[in-house]
Amino acid sequence: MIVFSIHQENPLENLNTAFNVAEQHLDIPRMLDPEDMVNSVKPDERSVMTYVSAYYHAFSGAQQAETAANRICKVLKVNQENERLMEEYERLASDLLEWIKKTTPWLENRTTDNTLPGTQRKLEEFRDYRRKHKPPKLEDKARLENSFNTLQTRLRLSNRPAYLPTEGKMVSDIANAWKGLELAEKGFEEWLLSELQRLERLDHLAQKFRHRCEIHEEWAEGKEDMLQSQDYLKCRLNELKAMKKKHEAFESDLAAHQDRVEQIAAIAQELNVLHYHDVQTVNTRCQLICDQWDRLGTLTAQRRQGLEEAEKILEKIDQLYLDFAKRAAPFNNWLDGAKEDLLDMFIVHSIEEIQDLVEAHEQFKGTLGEADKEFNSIMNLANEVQRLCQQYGLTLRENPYTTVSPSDISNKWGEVKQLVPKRDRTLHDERIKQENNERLRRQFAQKANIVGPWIENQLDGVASIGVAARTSLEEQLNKLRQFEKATDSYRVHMNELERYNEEVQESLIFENRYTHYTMETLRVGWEQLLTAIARNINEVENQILTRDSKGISEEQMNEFRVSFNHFDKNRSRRLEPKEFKACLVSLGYNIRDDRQGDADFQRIMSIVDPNNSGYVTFEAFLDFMTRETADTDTAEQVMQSFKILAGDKPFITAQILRQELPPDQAEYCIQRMAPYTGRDAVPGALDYMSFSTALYGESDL
Amino acid sequence: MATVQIQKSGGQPWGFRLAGGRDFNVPLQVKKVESGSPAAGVLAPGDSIIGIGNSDARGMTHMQAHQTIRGSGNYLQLTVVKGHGGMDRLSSIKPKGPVKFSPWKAQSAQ
Repeated sequence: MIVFSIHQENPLENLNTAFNVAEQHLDIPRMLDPEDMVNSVKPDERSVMTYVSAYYHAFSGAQQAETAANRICKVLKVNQENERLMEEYERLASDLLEWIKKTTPWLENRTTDNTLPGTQRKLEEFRDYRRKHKPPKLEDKARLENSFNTLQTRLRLSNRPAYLPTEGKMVSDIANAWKGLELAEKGFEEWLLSELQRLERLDHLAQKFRHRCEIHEEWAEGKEDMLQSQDYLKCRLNELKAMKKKHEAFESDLAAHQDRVEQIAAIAQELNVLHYHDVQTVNTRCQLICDQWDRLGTLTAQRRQGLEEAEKILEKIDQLYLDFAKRAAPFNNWLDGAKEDLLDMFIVHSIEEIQDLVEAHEQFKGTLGEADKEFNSIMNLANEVQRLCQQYGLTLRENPYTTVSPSDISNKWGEVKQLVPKRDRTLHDERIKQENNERLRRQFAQKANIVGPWIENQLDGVASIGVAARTSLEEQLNKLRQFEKATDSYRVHMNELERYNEEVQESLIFENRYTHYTMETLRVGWEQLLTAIARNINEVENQILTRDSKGISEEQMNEFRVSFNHFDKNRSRRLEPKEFKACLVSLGYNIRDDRQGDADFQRIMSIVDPNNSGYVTFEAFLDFMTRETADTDTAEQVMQSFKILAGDKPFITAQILRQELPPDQAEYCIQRMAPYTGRDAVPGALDYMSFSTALYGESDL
Repeated sequence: MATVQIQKSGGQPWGFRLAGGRDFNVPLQVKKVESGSPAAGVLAPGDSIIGIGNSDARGMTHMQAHQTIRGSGNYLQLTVVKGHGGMDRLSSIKPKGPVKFSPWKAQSAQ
């Protein structure tokens, strides 16, 4: 076949092309010149014919040749075709066999990696094989057969010898191989599926195993620690009992879990039997669990034992504590009481009282022996508790039955023992003191019992002086002065008594049964005596003065005195109005029992008792009795005297006063005289009249 | 006792002498009365003054009584116990001669 192309519009080029092609392919040399062909109107016929006949020859020879060639080609083509088919057959056969060779063992291999994913992958591969890989191969096989058959037919038809494939590639070989493949393939799928099932089941079992292990492990978490804890050594009895109950509950729980552990082991066993791929992990975990289970069992039993032991001990301790409480309380009270008594501050005032205290103390000392025994017993209880705790390693807890501690008891007992001798000393000292007090009491009493009566005697003596009839005032005075002197010299005894009294008071002695006299009463008596003497002396002296100034005779004084004393029954030296009236009458006064008499008596009373005290003293009585009947106007007399000095004037001057009177009396008058305010006054005039009356309690209105 | 009133004119004295008082331990009394004075005929020597105006005179000192009377102006009210002429009356009941103690007299009087 010759291929060339021409362009319609370019004849030159076309011609060129054609000439070239002919040269190249047909061995026709260029005989014409394209340019000539194109440029000339009429080309040379002969050259053209020559050139064209070349073509004719070329083709005609060619045609023969071609026919011969065709025939050869045809034969050759058949051969070639056959060879090609043979080659193809060989090739296909070898490929197929190769593939079968490769695939068959793969199908025969009934092992998996024992994992579900792995096996699933294998299934996938098989599916691929079935769907993707095998069908074309089946096609190939068919093609191969066809090819072989075709080939054989062709050979037969062309009288060729039959084709004999190479060794091993025969149709039978192929068929066998294919059969083998099919055989291997057979059951592969079922096997694979059953494997999958198995593996799935194993996986599921393994999961179940893990799940149960997890649950169990969670349950077992911390149990070993809990069982190992020795917390029961630190707790109280009631807490222990609760712990024990808790442990019992745990033991039940443990028993209930036994099943579970066995199940886990069973599953593990099954997994082993079924050749689970990760059976190592499973076994390890199962072993851990079982080991732990054994340990838990042991620990549980140990804890039980520990609890029971601790319970026994704690119960024992509890009892000891209770005993302690029962005995310690009364003993503690006794100690408190004893301490109080031993420290008791006492105040005693007599030897009998202190003696009683000493006896009581001796009695108390007698009880100390028993108390000591009791103390020891009680302390032993406490010590026993301590010992038990130490021995069993328990935490010592405080006694719940009492707040009294052994150290409290011990301390108090120590204190009490110390206080006993102290008390002995205190009581002894007090006794000494009391004995001393007695001495002081006696000392005072002895003297008081002398001084008291002495004073009383003196008082009587003094009182009786005025009463005795008909002693002269001078005699009375004398006697009184003697009393005065005696009393004065007796003072030293009072002083000594005061000293004795001081001693008594300093020793805080408040009563003295050896005398009914107290210092106070004696002082009062003493002062009464002094006062009585002084007053009586004063009275007598006044009476003497009165008598002398009024010129009363001794007999008269006697009458006055006797009559007054007669009516002064209680020797108070004063009379009540009734007594006074009787007294006046007894002295000859004519006081009548009628209104006039009453008026007269009232008048007299207003004179003798101007302050309305209700009593008439002897002095007032005497004064009244000796009053001048004629009321001398002594104020008048004084006034007359001043008048004389003043030269008959109603006023006087300081000058005159200084002239006529001694200096201090003149000044006395000048200071006290009011200025004279009469019409005839001169500067410096002094009123001597109001001054004179004022001297006598009189004034002019 | 009786209540008496005296009136006088200004500047004129009442016309009696006052004696006694708490400070002299003797009751307030009239000592002398000037004849023709406003007090004449109303007061007499020996009268005890127990009230001056509305005041109780029994506890007054001499000067207090004196001032109170002075302070009453020209009209004076006094509460008095008539004295029956002072000691003159008393001298009539007093025994003549020296006094002699005779207790039986007292008994008969009681």
